[in-house]
Amino acid sequence: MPPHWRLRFHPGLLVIPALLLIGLVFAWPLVRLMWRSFSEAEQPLANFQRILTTPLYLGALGRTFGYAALATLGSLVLGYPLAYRMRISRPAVRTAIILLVVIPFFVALLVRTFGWMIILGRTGPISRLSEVLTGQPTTLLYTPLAVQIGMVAILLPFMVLPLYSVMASIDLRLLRAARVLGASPAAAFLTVFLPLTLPGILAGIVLVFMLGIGFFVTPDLLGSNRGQVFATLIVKAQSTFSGSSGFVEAMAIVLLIVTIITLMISSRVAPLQQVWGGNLGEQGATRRRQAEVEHLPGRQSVTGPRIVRSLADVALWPAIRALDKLPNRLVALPAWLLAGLAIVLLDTPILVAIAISFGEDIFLSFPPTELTLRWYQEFAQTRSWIDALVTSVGVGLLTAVFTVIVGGMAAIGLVRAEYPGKDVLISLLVGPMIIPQVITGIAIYYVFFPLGLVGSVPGLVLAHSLVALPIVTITMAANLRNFDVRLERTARVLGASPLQAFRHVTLPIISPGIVVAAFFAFLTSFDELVFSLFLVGVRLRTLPIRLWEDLHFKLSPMLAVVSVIEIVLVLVAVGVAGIVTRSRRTVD
Amino acid sequence: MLAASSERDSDTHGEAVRLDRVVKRFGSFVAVDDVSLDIAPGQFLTLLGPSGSGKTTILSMIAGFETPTSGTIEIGRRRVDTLNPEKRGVGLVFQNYALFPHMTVAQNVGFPLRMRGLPRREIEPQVLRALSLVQLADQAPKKPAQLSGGQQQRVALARALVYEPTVLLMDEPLGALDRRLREVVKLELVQLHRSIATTIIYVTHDQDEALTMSDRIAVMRSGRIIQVGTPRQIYEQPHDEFIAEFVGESSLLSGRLHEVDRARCRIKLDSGPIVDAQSPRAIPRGQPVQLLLRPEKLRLLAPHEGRLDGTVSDAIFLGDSMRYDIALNDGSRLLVRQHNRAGLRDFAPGDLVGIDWDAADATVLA
Ligand SMILES: Nc1ncnc2c1ncn2[C@@H]1O[C@H](COP(=O)(O)OP(=O)(O)O)[C@@H](O)[C@H]1O
Ligand SMILES: [Mg+2]
Repeated sequence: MPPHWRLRFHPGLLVIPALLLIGLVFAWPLVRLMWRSFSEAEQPLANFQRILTTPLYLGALGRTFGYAALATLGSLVLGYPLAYRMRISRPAVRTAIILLVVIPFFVALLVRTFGWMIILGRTGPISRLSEVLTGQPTTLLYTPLAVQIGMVAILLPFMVLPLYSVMASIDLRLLRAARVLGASPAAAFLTVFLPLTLPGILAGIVLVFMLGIGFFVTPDLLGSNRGQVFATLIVKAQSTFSGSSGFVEAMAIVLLIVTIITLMISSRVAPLQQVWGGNLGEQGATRRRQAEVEHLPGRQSVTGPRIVRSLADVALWPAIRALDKLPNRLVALPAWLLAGLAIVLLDTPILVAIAISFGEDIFLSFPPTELTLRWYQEFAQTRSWIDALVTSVGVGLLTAVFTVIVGGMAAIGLVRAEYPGKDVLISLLVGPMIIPQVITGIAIYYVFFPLGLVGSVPGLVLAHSLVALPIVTITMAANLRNFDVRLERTARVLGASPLQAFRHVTLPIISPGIVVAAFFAFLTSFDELVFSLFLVGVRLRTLPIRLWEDLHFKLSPMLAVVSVIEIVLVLVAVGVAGIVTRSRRTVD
Repeated sequence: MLAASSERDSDTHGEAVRLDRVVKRFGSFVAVDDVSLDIAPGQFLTLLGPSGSGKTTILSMIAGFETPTSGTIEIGRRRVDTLNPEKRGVGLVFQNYALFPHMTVAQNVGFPLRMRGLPRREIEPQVLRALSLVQLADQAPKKPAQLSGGQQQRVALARALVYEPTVLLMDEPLGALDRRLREVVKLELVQLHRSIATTIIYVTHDQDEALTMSDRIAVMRSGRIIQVGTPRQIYEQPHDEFIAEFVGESSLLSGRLHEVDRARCRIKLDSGPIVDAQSPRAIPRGQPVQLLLRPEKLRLLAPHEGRLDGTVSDAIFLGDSMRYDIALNDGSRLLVRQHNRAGLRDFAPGDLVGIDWDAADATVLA
């Protein structure tokens, strides 16, 4: 018999298209950016010298940290009680709260910031209230306080969701066990629940802080011209500096280094894989967690080092005793208030934007006095808005199709195959979510410009796909992992080829997940602002870009109309996802 | 068994538990329906019933997680039904143990002592003592996740015992163990109960556990207690078919009461024959009844030599015994279990057999 040579297809190879995308649109541009920041300057380090010695830039860096830190603290203080409420509520209430968190999470940053501009502005409700009370209108808009409120409100879901996901995995019977063993409600919370949520707290802190550092849309729109954050300066510099001195690149690199240092510090305390990878690397991660548990005694990953624990002991007992003296209701009240405030911060801007779109008043007073559909008509009749809408929908659809294919393949390659280096792969895959988009945006610009991709639809689709890819891959991987592989094996035993088994058994079962992933991808692209800012060029306009320009130029009710379109889209997406997951559950 | 428990009463640490007309509603659904129960100090009482019958709800009310809709609960003559769980001082072992995953075994067991404000140096020896009681002293520094299911179960037990509660509640504590381990732990629990003499209220849906461990069993169904008695009473004189079927294997033949003479009576089976049986309760003549025949109380003989005749339809070798499925002439079925002992004849499917029993072993259910 002649030797039988047959190439076996390795499913791990399916990650290659995703790797190519990330390599060409993410890794390579970043490398180029770094190179340019040195090579374009007169002397290699000149740009960095200038940045690190100019008070303007140093001040902006300090402000960036300040805003991010306070936003992190604020969202923890508000988000923890909210997540806790979600966890202990009845299922119906829980679903309601989840919707109230998830909907704003998906509604575009710009829309929510627009809502805040109205709320905090001269004709907004706060100003009016102050006029009634003191006779003086108060404009909070364009103050540091406005920036801080807006950042907390917008980053809040990134705190609540990881917290909730950790809390959801805690068996509430542990609290009952603590109670029957003699713990008061406060003691049970502080000694059992709180320590178990520590990983979620750390994850939330890292996530919000990292996002806060790269934030610029909200600070730019809500803050004053003098109080700009570093990312805003980068964007401004990019649009004004002509000629190539590598200065903008150097600024981006400074922010990148700051990000990486923060990342390295936080990776020592927080389970980063969980933060960004979702359950992407779960199989590996679970095994690692088990291994960790197995040789544990030395490592106290949950309770923290000994010093922290004895400190906790010192502070804990007085706290418990003090709380025990108060009536239970009095202890619970602040938590209720904070959770309520969190919901208000999350959802009022959206409601305000909706209300404004139906208001007659061109000055965007809230609450509106007369109702009208005038702005919807005007929107439909304005060529530039319709063009922008069409562009956004088109780019969104292309991005959805492209990422579902590429991300779907990657998901199979990650879930269905074991090979060394998978962890590195996963980090690469979620890289675009970690690195502030301002940096990546600039980097992509310098690569795309010479290729004629700036100002083109393919250029936008590629860039948007980079943002959508991690989300799609994570969603699809989760889906695949829930799929019972034995079904596919059964199909094989029954005579199906691998491809047939996939097509007739696997695909139909995971298709709801694909629909959800496609929706996420579409929404991501539809809302994408930062990459687009660098890549639309002079003629191409997407909806967020038009919004952004108008938000700087003049606030008009048309912006509210766009917001409503966006909100409706999100509601449809969330609804579809809900229905899809529900029907799948009944199938189970 | 009864004798043993009354001997113990003098030196028991246990306290009496009393439920008086306790009702628990969830909305319009009645989860516990007018339950009254007196549990003597030091007694091992099992709540036995199918899942959903309200056992956990009763335990939750005794522990203080749920308040009764009406009725009262007393522990040691003290009304507790409005007291917070941490003030009741009962021990509780959950079905899935509810060990705190972020604490070591020692921290878990020390937790109730910490909550009681004991100084550290007093906690340690007590924890060690509790852990030695369950033979786990060497596992103290480990985390629960590093232990096997059986070990976790013991940690949960040690944690529930370390503060010497007068009442120990256990909710299906063996449910998560495999069968072999369950047998072992079952016997250990009985011994433990003997040595610590706490009042134990034990919840299970497993009749074997109930029968082997309990001083008394309360059988539950749809939120009600339908019979309370010693294991022997429950097994041999069940109040109704449901209990008979639920506790042990059984065959039921229907008939009418033919003749009564104190506890002895004669039943006319629907299929014709008249047989002897015993009736725990007075039943009027002519009333339709069920005759309960436990498989191990029946003997197989040659045809026409017993009280009834039938055909072997199935014979299964179980190791320690043979289990026969007998079809009677009128179509009803009987289970017979015969010990695997030299001198007893084996039958094969298709064999004609006679079936016999002692009149005292056949119980009438009304
Ligand atoms: N918190 C609750 N809300 C509504 N129904 C409940 C609640 N707890 C228990 N039940 C219902 O009460 C019945 C008895 O439950 P349970 O006491 O847990 O039964 P068991 O422990 O005997 O299996 C079940 O039908 C259950 O669905
Ligand atoms: Mg139960």
